[in-house]
Amino acid sequence: MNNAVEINDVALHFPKERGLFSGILSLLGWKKKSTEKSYIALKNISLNVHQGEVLGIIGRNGSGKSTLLRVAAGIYQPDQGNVKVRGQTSLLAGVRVGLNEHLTGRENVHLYGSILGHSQETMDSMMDDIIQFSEIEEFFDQPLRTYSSGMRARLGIAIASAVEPEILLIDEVLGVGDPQFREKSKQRILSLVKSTSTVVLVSHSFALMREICDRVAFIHEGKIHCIGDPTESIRTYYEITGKE
Amino acid sequence: MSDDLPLVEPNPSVSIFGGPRRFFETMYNDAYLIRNLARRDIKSRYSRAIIGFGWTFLEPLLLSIVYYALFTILAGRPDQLYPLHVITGVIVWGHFGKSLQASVGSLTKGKNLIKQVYFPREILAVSPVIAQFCISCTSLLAVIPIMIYLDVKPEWQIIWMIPLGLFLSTILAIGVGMLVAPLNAISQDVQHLFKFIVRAGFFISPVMWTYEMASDRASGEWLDLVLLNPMVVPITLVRKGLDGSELTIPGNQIGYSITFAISALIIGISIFKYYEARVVKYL
Repeated sequence: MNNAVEINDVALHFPKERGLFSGILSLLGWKKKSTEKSYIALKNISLNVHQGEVLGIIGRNGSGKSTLLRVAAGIYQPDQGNVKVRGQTSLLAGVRVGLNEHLTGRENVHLYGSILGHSQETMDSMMDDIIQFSEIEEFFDQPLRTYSSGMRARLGIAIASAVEPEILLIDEVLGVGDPQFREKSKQRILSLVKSTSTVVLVSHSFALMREICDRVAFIHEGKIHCIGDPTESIRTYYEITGKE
Repeated sequence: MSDDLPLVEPNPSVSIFGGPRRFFETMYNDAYLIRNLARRDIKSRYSRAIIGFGWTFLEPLLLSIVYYALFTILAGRPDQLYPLHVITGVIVWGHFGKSLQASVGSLTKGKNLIKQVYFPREILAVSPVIAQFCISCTSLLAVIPIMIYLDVKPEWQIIWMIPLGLFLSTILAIGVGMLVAPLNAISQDVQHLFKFIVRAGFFISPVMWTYEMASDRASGEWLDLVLLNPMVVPITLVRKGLDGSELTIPGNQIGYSITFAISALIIGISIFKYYEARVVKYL
């Protein structure tokens, strides 16, 4: 089977020290990377995501799950090892950062859509679908500052999930809006998961993981502790981190 | 299906010499995104003001009145064309200063976006400058009533002097801004330093004074020193384009300014592209 994402021996550390001088030195490579001065987020992680599978990633807060997704999306370049992807990745995370207060809903569709890497033609063709899904109706040509926070979240989800990428990376975007919309956005993401060939999902919702994931990886302190059957991995998670 | 797609690195690193090419490819391929970000910047700047877009005219006009008064107090009665010269100086310098600051702070300002989506980050350094360019071009229309009042008619040279002057100040701002934007991501001291440089640069650039005033008083090395400032030529070009008078800056100095701006742009892009991926971790 082909791999959609190959993560080979990836390590990533974040600088702790924020001094200008030491920052310049380390950028120029004149300073040895010492472990005390940086925070190691990922330690030699190797992970292959097969084409067509739904892979879940679980772990405590700060274990490196989100960082790993961001490495796969190209946001962070690994300090060691390499990452390769087959096709366009799309990271669903913090769906409201691409939106702007002063623009109308329609303008925000173009703005956020283009930030996500879609073309104008794509966004024009998805417009009706986004209007319909986000349930914003008459507000759609009003500036975003007149929207309620639920409406903003709905618009964000509607845009972010409108276009199917080859590889979908999801970082805890469920759970916005009122219960009805939450259920609707869950359904939307589930149908996106079903129609997208490859999905990597970070979530704390273990019930959802058991339901939709083919495999689950448990990340602990920047390393992959185990990977395999969802139920097994979730059991290991509780063994390592303590019971609920 | 996606079986036929190759395995590629999502954000491959760029060699120090590969930056400019990648930059211009991005400018072409991501024009839709750049346009949307520039529109966002323009709209959000004036959307909560009643006078709104009128501020693009009002700001340089009001500033010019203040400088005109200040100059009259300090140096006596100025030249008849001085109001036109001062407002052009204010607009071109303002364009450069605001573009530079926007470009320097681009990575830090866009950090929420950078951490959520990958897209070529040079877009963040360029799009606010494009927005500023549109605003500055509109501001420049404020000179028309002054020209009518002073009865100044531009000569044919307006068609190359104004575009060249604005172009040089724009690429200079982008170049210097991109050169230091990665440093600013490490420490925001850089941003404060550039705020100071823009304020101090106002005095050593021909904003309140003109190149002719400098060449009347200084000569030889002193004048050469004044001309080391790469903003002297752009501001003077726009002024000459408007008042139609002869350009007295020597040709080699103009060549120096053009070379300076283009080199700054190329070096800035190369440094930015080379370090961009590494400094994202500091955000």
